[in-house]
Amino acid sequence: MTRLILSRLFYGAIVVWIVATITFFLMHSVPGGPFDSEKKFPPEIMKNIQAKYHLDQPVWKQYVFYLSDLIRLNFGPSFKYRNRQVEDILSQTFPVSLYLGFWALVIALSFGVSAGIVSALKHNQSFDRIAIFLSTLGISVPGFVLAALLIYLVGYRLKLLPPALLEDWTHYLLPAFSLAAAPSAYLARLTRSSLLETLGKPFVQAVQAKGVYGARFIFKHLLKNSLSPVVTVLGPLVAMLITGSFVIEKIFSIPGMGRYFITAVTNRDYPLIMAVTIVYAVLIVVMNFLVDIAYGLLDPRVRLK
Amino acid sequence: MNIWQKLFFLIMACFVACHPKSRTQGERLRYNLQTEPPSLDWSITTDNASIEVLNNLMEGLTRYDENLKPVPALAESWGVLDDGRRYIFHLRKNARWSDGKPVLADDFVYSWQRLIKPETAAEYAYFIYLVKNAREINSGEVKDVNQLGIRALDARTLEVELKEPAVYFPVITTFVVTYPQRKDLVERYPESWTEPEHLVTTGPFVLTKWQHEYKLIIEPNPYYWDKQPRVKQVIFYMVNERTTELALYDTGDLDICQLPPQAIPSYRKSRDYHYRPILGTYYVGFNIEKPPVNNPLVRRALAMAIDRSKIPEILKGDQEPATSFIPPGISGHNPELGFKFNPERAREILAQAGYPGGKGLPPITLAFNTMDSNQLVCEFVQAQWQNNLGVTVYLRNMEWKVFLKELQLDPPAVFRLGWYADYPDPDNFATIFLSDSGNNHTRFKSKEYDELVSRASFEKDPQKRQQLYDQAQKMILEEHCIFVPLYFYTVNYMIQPYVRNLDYNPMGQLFFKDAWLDFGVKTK
Repeated sequence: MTRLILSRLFYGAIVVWIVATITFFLMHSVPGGPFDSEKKFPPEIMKNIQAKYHLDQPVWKQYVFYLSDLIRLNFGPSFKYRNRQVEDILSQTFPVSLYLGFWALVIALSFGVSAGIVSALKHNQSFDRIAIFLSTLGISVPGFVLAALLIYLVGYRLKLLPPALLEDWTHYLLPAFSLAAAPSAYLARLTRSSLLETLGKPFVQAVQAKGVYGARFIFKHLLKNSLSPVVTVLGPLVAMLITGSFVIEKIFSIPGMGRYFITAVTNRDYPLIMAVTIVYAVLIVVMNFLVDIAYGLLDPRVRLK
Repeated sequence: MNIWQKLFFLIMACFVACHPKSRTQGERLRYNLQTEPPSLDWSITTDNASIEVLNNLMEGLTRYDENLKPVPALAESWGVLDDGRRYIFHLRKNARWSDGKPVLADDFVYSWQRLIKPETAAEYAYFIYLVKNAREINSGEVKDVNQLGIRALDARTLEVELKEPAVYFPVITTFVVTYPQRKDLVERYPESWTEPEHLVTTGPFVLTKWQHEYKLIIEPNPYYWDKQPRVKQVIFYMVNERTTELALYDTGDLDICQLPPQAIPSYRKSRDYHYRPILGTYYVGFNIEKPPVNNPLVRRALAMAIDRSKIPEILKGDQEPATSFIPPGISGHNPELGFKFNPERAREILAQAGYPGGKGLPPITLAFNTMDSNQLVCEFVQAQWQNNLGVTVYLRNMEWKVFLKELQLDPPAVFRLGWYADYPDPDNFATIFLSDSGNNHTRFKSKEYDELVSRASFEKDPQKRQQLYDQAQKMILEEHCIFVPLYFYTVNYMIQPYVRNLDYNPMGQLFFKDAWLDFGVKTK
C-alpha cells in the first residue's frame, strides 16, 4: 500500500508539473498583459512595474523562477489585487467554495442516487418516466438559467429565500440547489442504467431465489455491484464542485474560488491563473486516487497494484 | 393535511422567518460596488471600485465643490508663488487621522515620495509628474528621492515646487494618489496596512470590515475635521451580476444600484430612476496611417454620415449626442465644434475623395472590445455608414486585453474607444492626442497641436484658454478629423426613495458623507 501511494504521488506530481508548464506557456502566449489598461502609462512607469514583477525577464527565466517558488509553495503576489498574496486569496475563497460544493454534493448524491434506485426498481412505471423527464431537464437546463429562475421565483416573487449574498445559512440554499441540479440528474441516470444492467445479471435471480428482498437486497447486493460507474464520475465531480462554479458564484454573489477560473484569465493575473489551475489539477489527481481505492472496496476482484 | 404537508409548511415558515427584513435595520446604506476593490493602497490603486471606496475614507489637501472647483479640505488655504511654480499649503489644525493623531506635512512628503519611488511601481505616479524632479526620480535618473519638489516647512506647512506653472494644480491634489500616508503603519505592516485592523484614514469614514470579494463596511470617523456623516454605516457589496443586483434592489436588499442598458426601459418610469451625465466621451477613432482612412476626405465623410441623435434611442440611457470632444460641465466644452450630421455633404466629400456612392472604397472594419453596449453602438455606426454612404463595413470584436494590445502595437484602421475624466479639466482630454501620448492610437502627430495644448495648460485667462482649446479641438475634429465623438456618457441608476442627499458628482464619484435615510417616506 505504501509503495502504491508513493508511486501514485510521483505520477501525480508529474501530471501537475505538466499541467503547470502548459498553463504557464499558454498564458504567456495570449496577447495582452496584466498591466495593459485603457489609460496608457508613460514608458518609465511600465518599466518599473515590469521590473517589480519580473515581467521584463525572458519567459523561460520567469518559468524557472516560477517553478522554484512553486516548490516552496509560494504562489507570489496577485497582479490584480496588488496588496494580497495568492495564498491569502485562495485560503479565503476556497473554504466558501468547499462548503457550498459539499452541500451541493450531498444534495446531488442523495437526490440522484435515490432517484436512480427507485427508477430502476420501478422500471417503466410512472415514477421512472417522471424521473427520466426531470433528469433530462436537469441535464439540459444550464445552471445559470436555473439560478436566474430560482432567484426570480423563490427570491423575488415568493420572497421565501434571499435572492443572493451570503449572510446566513439560508443564503446557501438556492446556490446549492442550482449547483446540484445537473449532477443529481446525471447521477440519477447513471445509477438507473447501471442498476438495470445489474438487475439483468444471473446472480440477482440467484439472490432473489434465496429469498433476499427489500433493503438488504438493494444495498448489499444490487447497489454494491452497480456503483462503480457512479464512483468513477464522482472523482472529477467532487473536484469540480468544491472548487466552485464561476456561473453560480457570480449569479449569487458568493465570494468563492470559482470566479477566478475566469476572471484571473481576463485580468491576465498570471500568479492567480497558475494557482487555481494547480489547485484544480491536484484535486483531480487526489480524487482519482481515492476513486481507485474505492473500486477495491466495492469490488474485491479489483486488486490495487 | 398529512404529516408531510405540515412539515413542508413548517419549513417554509421557517425560511420566511429567517429571511432578513432589511428595511427595518436602521441607519445604514447598502450600495453595490460591483467588484472587489483591487487595492486600497492609494499609491498604487487605479480602478474605479477602489477609488470609490477611498473617496469616502480619505481626504487630501483639496476636494471638489458641487461645481467641480477645488476647495480646501485638509489644507485650510494655499498660496501660489513664483507665477504658479510654487504652492504653499497650510494644513488645518483640527485635521486628524482616525486614530486621533494629527495630520502632518510630513505625511504628505512620505506619501508623495513613496508614490514616485520606482520600487513602488505605481501606475498613477505620473499624476504628479508636474512636481519638480518627479519624472526623473520615477525613471531612475535621479536616485535621491529627497530631490522631489515637496518639503515640509513646518509641521503644518507644505511646500510644493512644480517643474512648470500649472493653473490646475489644486485639482490634482483632490486625487487619491496625492493623499497623505502614515509612514509608521505602512512600514510596520507592509502587506496588510490597508486591512481594517490597521488602516487609518483622514476622511469622513473608517473601514471597519472587509470580507474580500463579498462586502466592505465603513463607519463614521470620530476624528473627522468636518461635519460627521449622518448614516451609521455604509455597506459596499460586490455583486458582479447585473440582474442579481437588480433583484436585490427590488427585494429591498440594496439602496442604490446601477442600471445596465437592457434594464433601463423597464425601470425608467419608476420614481427611483435617476440619470446623471458624467465627464466622459465615447468615440470612434481612426488610425490615420491605414487605408482607406488615411485620406482625410474619407474620414470627414464618415464623420458627417452618423446621425448621433439616434444614439439615446439605441442605448436608452439619456446619453447626450456629441460632435465635440470635451464634455459639457467643464471649461473647454463647445458644442459647435465637430461635424454635424449631413449625409448629402458626406456623399459629396466621399465623391471628391474618388469614391462616388462608396464605389471603389475598400471595406472598412470597425474594431471594438466585446461588450453589449459596444455591440449596439458599433452596429448602429455600421448601418449609418452603409445606408448613408454605401460603404461596406465589417465589425470585429475582441476580448478587452487583446483589443488593448492591438491598439498599442498596431491600431486597427477604425476602432471604438472612450475617455473618462481623471480630473475635471480640459487638459485631461486634450493631452490624449499629444504626439507622444500613449493614449493616442490614431498615429496623429502634430507639433502645432502639442504647442497649443501646452499653452492652454498654463493660460490663466479663462476666455483665452477657451479659445486655445477651441482651436485645438477644431484641429483634431475637423481639419485632421482623427476621430469621431459619438456621445457623452451618462450613468443610470436606481435610488430607494428614502435615501436623501446622495452626492453623485459628474466625475461619477459617489460621496456618502451627507447622505441620510428618511424612513418617513413610503416605500413601494
